[in-house]
Amino acid sequence: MKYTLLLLFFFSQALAFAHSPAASKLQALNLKPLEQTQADRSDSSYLKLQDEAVDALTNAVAEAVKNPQDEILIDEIFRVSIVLLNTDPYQYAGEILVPLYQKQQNLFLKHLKKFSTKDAQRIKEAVKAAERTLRRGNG
Amino acid sequence: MVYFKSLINIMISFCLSWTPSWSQNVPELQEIVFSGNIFGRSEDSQGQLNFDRQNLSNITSVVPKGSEGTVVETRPLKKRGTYGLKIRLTKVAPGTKTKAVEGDEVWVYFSDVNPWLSFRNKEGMEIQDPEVDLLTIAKRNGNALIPPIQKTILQGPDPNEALVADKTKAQGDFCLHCEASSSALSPGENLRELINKNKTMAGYWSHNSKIMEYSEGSAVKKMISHSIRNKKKYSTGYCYRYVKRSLLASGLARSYPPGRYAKNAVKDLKAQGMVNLLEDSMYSKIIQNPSDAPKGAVIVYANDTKEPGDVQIKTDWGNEGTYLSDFDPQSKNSFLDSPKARRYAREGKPYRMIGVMIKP
Repeated sequence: MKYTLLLLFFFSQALAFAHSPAASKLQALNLKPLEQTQADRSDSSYLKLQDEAVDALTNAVAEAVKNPQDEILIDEIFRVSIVLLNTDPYQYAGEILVPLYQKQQNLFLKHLKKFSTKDAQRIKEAVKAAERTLRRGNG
Repeated sequence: MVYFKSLINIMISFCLSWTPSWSQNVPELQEIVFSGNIFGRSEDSQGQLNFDRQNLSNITSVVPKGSEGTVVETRPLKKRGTYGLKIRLTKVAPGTKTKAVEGDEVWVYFSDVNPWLSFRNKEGMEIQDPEVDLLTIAKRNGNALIPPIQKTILQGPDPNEALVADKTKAQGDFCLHCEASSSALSPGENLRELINKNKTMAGYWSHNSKIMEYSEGSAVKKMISHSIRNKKKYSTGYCYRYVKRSLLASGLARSYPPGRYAKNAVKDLKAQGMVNLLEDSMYSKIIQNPSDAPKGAVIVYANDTKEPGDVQIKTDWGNEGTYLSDFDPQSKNSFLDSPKARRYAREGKPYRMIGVMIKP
């Protein structure tokens, strides 16, 4: 009995720390070159990194919609989104987050509280604008 | 008893149907940010407002760009879409010599076509259409005697647009036609000189007098300067709305163009007398990408999905300048170079230009 409980404990711990492939992919991204203020935004390596981040974020959001209990994945999604929103004036990351916001609004807002007010506000603003544009247009 | 019941019924239905109009809309407007240096004015002894550019006597201070305040009172003016706003200053932006101090209450002019103010709600987010709130506050103060009916072209000068002595120089240190007006040439000569100067930059278009006249004309200059003045730091999702406002402010649109989606802009703008260069085989071969479009062209983008599309104003010739809508892309890249357009291109649903609109 004692060993069974111990095994269950380790198993639950392992589950808690297990990352989904989408989260691992987001974690593996080195976004520092995007954050540099002096970065040349038309440079091919800059654009390639931005594209990689956009693709990884899109896949991660699709994964999070299916599995909203993966907290690490959602935290990573927000971390990468903030970097993309700060470096892309078109705010495309906001649009990528819309499916997650629409399906899991309460969870979405709850997770945002983990981030600074400024970052949370930025994400909220971008997602709401993107959702409204999709629904009611941009005119 | 029957009479009493019917009387009660009438009273209940009256109570249910009647509510004060101001209680139906609770204004979300909390804060105002000045996006240019604006004259703060006072009422005259009879409580009248005068925003006439010739009238300097009621100017109390210049409120510098970046200052913030709260709305105390609003008053619709005779021109539709224009308001006098009484603002209590909560922050006076440093760096400009001014008499304005925090706590001052000043009247400023606001026009929805050419706004020099941005409005924010409790959460600090921008209110895109503040007119409902302004009218609600006006009604609350008993000032809503002239309700705005419909958005129409506003004729005449904007009081926030220019200083009285030099009509070419706007408030906010924003010089609209400084270069053109600095010489002693007539407007016609001035235009020709400017066209000659830009001929090298214009490349192919320099041989096309109609397009050169459009691109170097005052309406395009006004449209571009309006866009520059009102641009945000990043996208708000209202690209088409901001382009429409700039078109209306410059006079290139006769009235506020209807339509919600940018991808329908070609049809909407044709109704305003604009033409699509891409529909002319002579030009469609030349315009392969946004940098080939003439200066001042309104470029419309769409793809074969349900996406709303995008619209931008080209601010200069060739690779000079940038592409503006509701924000500045902070580079010389057009929408086709944005992360969104690149992703759709990777997925085989590329965005393309469907309209390069000008008004010859």
